Amino acid sequence: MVQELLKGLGITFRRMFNKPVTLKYPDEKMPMFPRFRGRHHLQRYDNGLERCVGCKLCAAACPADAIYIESDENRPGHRVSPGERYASTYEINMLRCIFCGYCEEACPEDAIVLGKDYEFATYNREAMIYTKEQLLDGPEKGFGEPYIRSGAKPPSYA
Amino acid sequence: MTEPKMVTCTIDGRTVTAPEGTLLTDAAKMLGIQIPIFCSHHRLKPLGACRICLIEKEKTGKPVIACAEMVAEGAVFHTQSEMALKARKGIMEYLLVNHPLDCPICDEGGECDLQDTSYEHGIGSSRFVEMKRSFDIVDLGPIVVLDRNRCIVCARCVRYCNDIMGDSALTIEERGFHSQINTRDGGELECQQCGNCIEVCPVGALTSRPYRFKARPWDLKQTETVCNFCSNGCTFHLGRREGTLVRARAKKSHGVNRDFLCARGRYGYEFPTSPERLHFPRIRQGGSLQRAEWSDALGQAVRAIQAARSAGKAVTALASARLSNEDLYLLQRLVREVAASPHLDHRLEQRAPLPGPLLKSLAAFPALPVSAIATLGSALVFGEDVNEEQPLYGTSLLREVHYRRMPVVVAHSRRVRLMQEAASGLPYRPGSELAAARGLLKSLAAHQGAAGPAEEVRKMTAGWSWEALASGSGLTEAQFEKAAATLYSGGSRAIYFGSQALRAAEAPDLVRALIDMALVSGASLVPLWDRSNSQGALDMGVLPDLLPGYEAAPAPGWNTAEILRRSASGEVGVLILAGADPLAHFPDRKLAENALRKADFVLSLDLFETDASEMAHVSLPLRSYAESDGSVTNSERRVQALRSAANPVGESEAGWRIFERLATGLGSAWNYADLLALQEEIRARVPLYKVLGRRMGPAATSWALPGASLPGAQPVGEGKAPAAAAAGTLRVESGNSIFHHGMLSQHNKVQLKLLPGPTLFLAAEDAARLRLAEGDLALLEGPGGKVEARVKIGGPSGPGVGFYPDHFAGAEANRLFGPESPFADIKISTLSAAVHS
Ligand code: SF4
Ligand code: SF4
Ligand code: SF4
Ligand code: FES
Repeated sequence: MVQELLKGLGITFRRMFNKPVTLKYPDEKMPMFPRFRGRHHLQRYDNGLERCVGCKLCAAACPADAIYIESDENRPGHRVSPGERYASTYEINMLRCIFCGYCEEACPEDAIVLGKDYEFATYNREAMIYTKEQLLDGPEKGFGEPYIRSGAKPPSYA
Repeated sequence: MTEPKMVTCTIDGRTVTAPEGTLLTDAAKMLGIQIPIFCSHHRLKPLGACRICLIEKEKTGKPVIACAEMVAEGAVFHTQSEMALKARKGIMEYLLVNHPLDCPICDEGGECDLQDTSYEHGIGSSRFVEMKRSFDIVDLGPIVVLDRNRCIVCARCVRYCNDIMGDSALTIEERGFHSQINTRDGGELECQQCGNCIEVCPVGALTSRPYRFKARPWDLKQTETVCNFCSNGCTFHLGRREGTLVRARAKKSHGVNRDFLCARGRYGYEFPTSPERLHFPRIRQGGSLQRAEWSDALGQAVRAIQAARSAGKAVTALASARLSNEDLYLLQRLVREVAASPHLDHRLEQRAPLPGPLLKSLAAFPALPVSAIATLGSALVFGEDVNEEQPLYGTSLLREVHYRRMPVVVAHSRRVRLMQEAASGLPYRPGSELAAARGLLKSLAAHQGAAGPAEEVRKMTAGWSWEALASGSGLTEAQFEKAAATLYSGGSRAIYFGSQALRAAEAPDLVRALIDMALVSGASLVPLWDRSNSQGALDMGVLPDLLPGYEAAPAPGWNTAEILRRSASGEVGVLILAGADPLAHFPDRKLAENALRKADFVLSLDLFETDASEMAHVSLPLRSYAESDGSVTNSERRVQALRSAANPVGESEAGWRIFERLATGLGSAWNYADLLALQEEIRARVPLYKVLGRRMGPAATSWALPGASLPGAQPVGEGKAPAAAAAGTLRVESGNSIFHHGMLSQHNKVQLKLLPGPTLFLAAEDAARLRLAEGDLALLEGPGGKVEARVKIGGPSGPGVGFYPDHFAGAEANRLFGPESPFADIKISTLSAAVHS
């Protein structure tokens, strides 16, 4: 019996000098793989216009029916996106989303992309429906080159 | 008719035999081979503008356009050969030279011919690096948005507007590379706003303003159902997104109309989901209607019917002819069998409703599909502004007049659109329909052989003096002769008549004259009824003197006027208003008001608050056509399926369910598991309707009265000649305008943009005489009272005859016109002149 005890403690003492394999989340975070798909971002052009034109192709591609969009028309003095159409409502239900990335794949404007964030925890279901304001990247994220997953080439908008 | 010669040719190695003159695109379709098309359209003549339909014809060494090439004996065609594919790829590249790549923005995306064809035949990239043409996007009025950037100049819209609608509101400007679509004067579209240009545009150059960016084709729940307005019974697909109906669209493979819709059909989808709909049953308590439970409301109605029966008072019903066949059938059973009363009717507007035997005679004529117009030799349209009231018939006739100069006679009190283009017109004086019909009958009979009905009719008409007919109708013998000759100049003929004839004070005699005309000339006779299911209401026996299936009722009951008169004198115990509002539609408004006040109990079933529903003791919320399953029957007598496209509003119920519950409350053992059970009963009890049921689809066929033979010649009575219009007044008529239908469309915002409120249409010379200008607010004073209306020049008016469309609560035509005649001499004074900016 003593023998078993010593054997076990032996492992314990040996491991005491190894580096830990866990991270002290949330103080420490794991680096994400390049192809990890986290929460969505709606991107903008250099000039601040939204890339999304409200075409609803992402909603059509979504296997989980997680996206809800309403579109409206750009009017003089109220231009939101290039072209005539923009998304007046853009919502993703993160409880439904399976992070498959089909929306990103379907988007002809490179507007919706899946980023790296994965911290969704909240106290109620409503908060899991991300609105356009939450999804849309603001100036602090910097405009410009759209985020494109590795391997793909960004299209040029001359 | 002679059988067309058949021709056999080969397409892609398979032989097809088609009548001579068949276009290759159609012949290929018979084999299931799709040839892409853009500019070709089944209603339009071939043009050959876009060239996407190029296919190879052996032995010619070059591609030919399939949309203009006809089948030829022994010819061999290839649609998939190298030459054909290369030609189409090339054309596709050309078509995309200027076309922008904005499919995600474009409303057409997902149902776009160019998108589909480009996917199939395009090369995926373009060799053109030059700038594309660029134009601003413009609104052409409240309906159509034009984006010339996307236009491929196929000219479908221009030709449809010109050839089919007769409006010529669109044109092509400039030539060659610079060709572009514009309105006639560069401003807004001045037309019937039918939106058919949007429908035929193979790309997204013409899109719909009301539907703009509301949905994409794939997130619409589309349900095929039938338009609820006029009796043409157009099939359309109602598109619902998030519980709201957002568009109606016709599809070219469906329905009697194929891809045609008129403005009210295309934009009439709003009222079913209007917030003004009635949501709950209401019971009168202390002078006002209060929300109640269904059981209480029905209980009150049941007790009222029982009370009426034990007091020996009449139970009566007036129904709307927009209800489904199933609703009407059960209402009729409820009144006849459960309440044991023969008093019911659905004809509110007609001053002299047709007696049962006459309706049966009409039903004995074989049905004529609207598609038959394409092969008719000649036609007579009597007392109906077809283009305004029955647009599918109107445009079908207009097309034949344009394309093959079909001889058409139009008899109407106003110079209506079709009359302006018809070979012969009979513009009789308002109110002299009968004199005009007698004159035409006399001319027609004089031309015909000696035997049969023609002989009888000739004997009858021989004594009629031309002077009396001419002075009575304001027409001359020569005009009648010309009209008769025109009608006889075609082989097969048809006679259409509609609301003006049916609402005339002498309607029965007029219809007898029309039957005689049909018998004498060997024409088909087609009544164009008012409402989407007027035909069904006749078939289902919602009539005082006919049971379902045109059986004579053993003891005829009261018609609408009689019911209201008896009610006003206190003889009616219960008055059921099934979607019907006699205050709005019955010519004598005061009588209708009295009737509702004096009836012991008024039960109203309706979609909206109406003047009548607010006078009722119990008001029940009815489902609209868009929330109901069932069937309606159009003027072709085609029994078509209604399918529910929207969720029921509030606690609303289907009419037939309400009648069933009333009947069970009254002690009957009715128990219909579902609609199919009810339809089965109708099939069993009404042999005409054996077509009704599960498999009833767009290909449903018209019924025919079993064992019916054509009626014999009818004696035609003499009418009174209308007096001349009083000095300083304008003779005005009423009816449906192209933008509205009945009182329902006032709940549609789009239609209110097209015709916002009470309007008086009059001819320019009358406006000048009466010192009125377009846009003036005028006070109209007639025998029935006063209304205020905006003045509009032109429209469906004629010289000396104004037109007052009857669509707006508070300004119904019966507030203006007297009960005697469907026209009146109106005194008009300007209240405030239009502000011209
Ligand atoms: S990632 Fe997949 S499941 Fe999530 S919103 Fe996009 S398409 Fe839908
Ligand atoms: S607007 Fe549409 S229908 Fe008209 S010419 Fe252009 S592409 Fe053809
Ligand atoms: S109102 Fe008549 S013509 Fe117009 S769409 Fe409806 S059924 Fe067709
Ligand atoms: S479809 Fe044949 S030329 Fe346009």
